[in-house]
Amino acid sequence: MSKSLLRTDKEIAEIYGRHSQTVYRVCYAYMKNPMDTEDAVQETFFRLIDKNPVLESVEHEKAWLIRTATNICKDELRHWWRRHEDIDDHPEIEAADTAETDEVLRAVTELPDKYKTVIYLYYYEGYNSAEIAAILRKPKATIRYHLSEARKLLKERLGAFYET
Amino acid sequence: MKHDKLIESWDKILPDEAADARMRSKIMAYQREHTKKGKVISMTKAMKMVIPVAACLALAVTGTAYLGMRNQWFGARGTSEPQSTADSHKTVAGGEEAGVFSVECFPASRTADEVADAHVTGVTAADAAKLGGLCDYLPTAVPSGYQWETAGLYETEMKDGTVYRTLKITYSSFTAEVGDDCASVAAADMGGNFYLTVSDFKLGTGEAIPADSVNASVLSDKWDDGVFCIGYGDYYVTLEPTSLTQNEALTVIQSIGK
Repeated sequence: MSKSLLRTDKEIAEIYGRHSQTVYRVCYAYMKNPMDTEDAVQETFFRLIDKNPVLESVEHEKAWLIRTATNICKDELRHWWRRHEDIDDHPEIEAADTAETDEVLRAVTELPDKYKTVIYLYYYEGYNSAEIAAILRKPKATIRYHLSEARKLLKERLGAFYET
Repeated sequence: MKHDKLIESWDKILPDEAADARMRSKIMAYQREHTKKGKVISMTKAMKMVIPVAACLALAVTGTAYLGMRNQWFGARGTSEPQSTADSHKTVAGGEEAGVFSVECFPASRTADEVADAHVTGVTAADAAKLGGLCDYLPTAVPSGYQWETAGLYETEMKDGTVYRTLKITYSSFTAEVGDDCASVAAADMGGNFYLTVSDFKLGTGEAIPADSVNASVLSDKWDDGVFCIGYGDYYVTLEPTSLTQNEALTVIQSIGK
């Protein structure tokens, strides 16, 4: 095929309009501050433009962006100027407070990385575990396990509030 | 937990208008630059061409694979070489990537157990000029067209009261504003960017170059590293040139503290 299949400006603008908030929230769960979140969101859409994947539906588009955003955040957290540590060992460290976060959201952002996207997709986006498994390309059993572990942690961290 | 409460909490996480405009502008400018390289056709139209081709290819591959398996074109089962396990080094127990801190910045000599609190604040160039200590190591000259884009001050307080500060600045030569209608995109230019941090401790980069040793030859030798850490006594400046030339990077470094 001699023609390139790049998306038009209008198509990119529409995709941004449809999914920028979702991508922003996924990135925020990892980056925990608006500046780094902004960079990660841009990078996610840059990658969409660069890779130009064939996405068959709006849901496929969203799944691709969520997966890409998650990978970009993980890569960014390994950037040269950050110290590499295992946050799973340090749940006591507080998240950034520059955005309007509350107790519940802080508890979510302090979850181990592997649970954050799953919790977001389950509670906020309303996907079930099978759909999340498809989006993140993980086994269903892994997603169910992550959901169960994340709930346990949220219960521990939010105490009585979790029960209400 | 009530789902409503969680949804309500997530609802608050949104970019402000300025940040949204900035992201949209950059993304649309990037798109414009990218499409300059190739003729654009709508993905909707493209899908109409791609789907039949993909279907034919899938059929061909499936057919070949089926025949291949039947006739052992690819060797007998169970005799293939094991797959590379290189990727497994990246994982930890549970098969997941280890997490890393996103806000806390402290020297390698300290541990995470010692951290009491950490936060990051957005700062303007005017704010940065008032940051005692760090402000003395800001560049006073940046290459033509570049300007301060965004910056964050990362402050990490240890349990013993020590506070470590890192100012991370993004400089960019991108200036165009792009409207929602994309009509003004044509005038947009992605430009370039570079990153600079000033910290009161050494970040996890390679060996620091003493400030008085920095010259074109040293920079050239280390150019492939992609990141330069320059030591100014108790302070360190780290530069990731990204789109800068060696001369431009040298100009930035030589203007520090001037």
